[in-house]
Amino acid sequence: MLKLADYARVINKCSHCGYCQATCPVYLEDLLESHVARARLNLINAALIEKTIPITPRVKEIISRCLLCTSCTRSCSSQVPCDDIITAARIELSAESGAVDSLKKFVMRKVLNQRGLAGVLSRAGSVAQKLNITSVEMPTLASVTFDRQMSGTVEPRGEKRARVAYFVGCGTNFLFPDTGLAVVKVLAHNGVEVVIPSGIVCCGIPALAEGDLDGAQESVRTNIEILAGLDVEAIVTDCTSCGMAFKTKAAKLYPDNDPLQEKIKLVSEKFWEATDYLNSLGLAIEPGEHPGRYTYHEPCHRGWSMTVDDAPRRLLANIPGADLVEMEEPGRCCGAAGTFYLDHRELAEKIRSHKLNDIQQTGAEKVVTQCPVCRFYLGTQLKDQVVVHPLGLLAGAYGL
Amino acid sequence: MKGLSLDLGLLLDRSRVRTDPEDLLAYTNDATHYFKRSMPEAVVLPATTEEVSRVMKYASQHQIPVTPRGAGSGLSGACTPVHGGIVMDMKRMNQILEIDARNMTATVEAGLVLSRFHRTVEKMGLFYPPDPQSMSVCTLGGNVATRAGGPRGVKYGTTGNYVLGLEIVLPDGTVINSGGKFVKQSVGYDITRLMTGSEGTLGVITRINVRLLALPPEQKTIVVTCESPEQAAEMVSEIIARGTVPSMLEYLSQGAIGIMNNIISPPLAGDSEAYLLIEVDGTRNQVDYDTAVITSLCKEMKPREVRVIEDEREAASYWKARSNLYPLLMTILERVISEDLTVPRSMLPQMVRMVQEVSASTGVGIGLGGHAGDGNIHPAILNFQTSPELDEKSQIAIGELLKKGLELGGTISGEHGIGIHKSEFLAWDLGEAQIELMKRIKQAFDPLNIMNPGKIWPEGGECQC
Repeated sequence: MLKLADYARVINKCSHCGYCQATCPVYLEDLLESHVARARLNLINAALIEKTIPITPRVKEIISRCLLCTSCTRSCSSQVPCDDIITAARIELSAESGAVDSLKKFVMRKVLNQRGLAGVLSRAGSVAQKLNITSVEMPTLASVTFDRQMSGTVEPRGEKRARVAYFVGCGTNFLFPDTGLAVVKVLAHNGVEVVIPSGIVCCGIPALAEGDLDGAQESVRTNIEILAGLDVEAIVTDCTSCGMAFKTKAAKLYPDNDPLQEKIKLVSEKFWEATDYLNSLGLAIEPGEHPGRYTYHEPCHRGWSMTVDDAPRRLLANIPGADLVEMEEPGRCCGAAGTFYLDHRELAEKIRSHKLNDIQQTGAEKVVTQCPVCRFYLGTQLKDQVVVHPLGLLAGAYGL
Repeated sequence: MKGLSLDLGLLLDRSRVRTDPEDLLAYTNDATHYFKRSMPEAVVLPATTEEVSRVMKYASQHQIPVTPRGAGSGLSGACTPVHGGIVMDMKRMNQILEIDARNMTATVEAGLVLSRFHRTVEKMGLFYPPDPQSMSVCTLGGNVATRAGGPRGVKYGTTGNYVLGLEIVLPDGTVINSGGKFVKQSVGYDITRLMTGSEGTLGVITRINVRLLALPPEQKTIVVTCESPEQAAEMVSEIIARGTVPSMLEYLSQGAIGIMNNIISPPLAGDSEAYLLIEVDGTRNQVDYDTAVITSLCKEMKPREVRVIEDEREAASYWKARSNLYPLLMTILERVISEDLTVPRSMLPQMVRMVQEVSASTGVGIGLGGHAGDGNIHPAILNFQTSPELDEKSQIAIGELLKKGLELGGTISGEHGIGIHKSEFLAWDLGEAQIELMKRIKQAFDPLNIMNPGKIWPEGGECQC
């Protein structure tokens, strides 16, 4: 479970090599050693596990100034789960002092976790004013959410090759329903029967990032109960963060002996990132000519599968005429990180500036990425390029 | 404390002075996880030589200790404060000021990260060989201050072989320039060399002129699966004796390969006690020739397998695994103390036997894995648990290793430096007369003993003369 006490031993597995300085986007901007995983772990150990120093506002600030991008965890040769330890620290801090912003909690609990309820849009629409953040970049909500456009079971074209469930994340549902439509159409076009389960809620990652364990548990339980009951071979998501939630985080939210664990295991084993899934299945139909230069931004939450970071490249290589132009550091974070960019605006913008620059250098017309938050956060600053999901590009090549 | 913070805030931008204990905590350790930590009173992050000079002048006036720091990736405790005072984090001074292809030199600021420098010069067809395995984070300034080296030492030497000149801020704030961009100089004492390896005890290095080479166009990696550690050691001695110089020549134990297989792709069969990982570089002809010479020489000694790795990605996975060996060890251990005892290369077989004997007699696990090609085979204390008794035994084992390594004609540190880790053994290596001479040099540079006090020799650097 994501309880700090359970990490008392593993936190000492940090060799202190400091190699996390090479990959932490926050550290690379701040260049202050207290803002890198090695030091964060030492601080959490001192303040929250061994309790040799008090929990001060500065302790909270250092723990909050982390994107949870998992760069440190992915690159840590000592295999210290740094992002889990920071999440556990946030959970502990929020339990002690209610650190989670109550308005944010409202959004997560009432909007993202009850998205099927009527009037959700009007509530979501007022989020910006409620949070008093109308002056900063806020995503525009889709006029008709995905779940109002598509539901039930979508029949495959031609012979049925597989039957899968499509897990729709909040980003796709509320911000970019075009991605959801593309996923379903491309799958069906390739002979896949697609079940769109109703009652699905947020994957739980946003709540977890705020240290809201109860909220994350509520999300996961709701989703797992629905997904475990489906008769499907695979569960496909277009969002790397949602995939990470099921694949590597869900089981950590409950005690080992919790009855839900069995269902979590069943569901997580079936989880696939959409492009990765299509690669493994193989395309039934050759895409048509779709000329253009695109570049690929790897979302941070890609560590849950060995193949997911490369999957869009391999899939889109099937499109005649679509040329991949690699950017300088495709795996570098864009700075958005859920709602991080709202709380740490200046820092997030600095992190994004490198990404924007790398994109401009490629001369590509399209930026491809799976993560809806990256898509939004990069898209607001890109005037000459559009940002699309890889399956959006593939749907275009199919003329769907 | 308050006074110090306010004073420093007048010398450089307020945001680059940190005195909160939560920040100071991050500066109490380097890449070691086993020393007692002590807090500084402030951390400063200067952006210019002028700021470094101002802080040093202030520290001199108030006799406040100053500990310069790069990435904190060292293995000797050299950049950690032991007497409080100010830690000077140099990573804001990270610019490449000049790459002069006509002179084959570069001028950089001390806080520049080594891998960024490598990438930049290599794009221009140039080559800066020193490759401490922390190169993804370590700084050029830290490399110079510890005379750092890496696998390429066998062919290309270490940092000390590349430094041509330095800008140095002396403890009283005076800025001096030693050496320059020229490749030779015969003018008085060689201050550049003296500063190289001085571990922040003489002054603050702010700028560095280094020598560059032309980038070798080709590389080839060879893996040898040996019958025994003795055979591997003999093979290294033989390769060196025959005059073929690989660019890297690493000895790896069974345990090392076992965990490196987390990264090596596809994994290497880990059923042998010892392996050699070799790289040759140069022009295509040179690489082909050296590969042929080394493989036939190795085969003469009848190891289990000699394999030339043709796939570049596979070869890269071996070297990536090698550079991550230290953190990888923590996946199976609770404590790792990496030693850098270095012996003349003809003594490697004796050294391998000696390490096994010390391990047996002290009951402490000691692994071997490292730059065998330059005689620095990195015996590492491997503790599967931690306890005061085991710590004591480990310390005894380290002492034994160093003593016996010196008997083989070696030195107690090849590339990590002394810091606080090996100060108690310094006299064995240098003798009292040489230490006294060093202390007089220290006194001449730093009469107030404010530069990184407590390092290199145990008494804290005060002149006993």
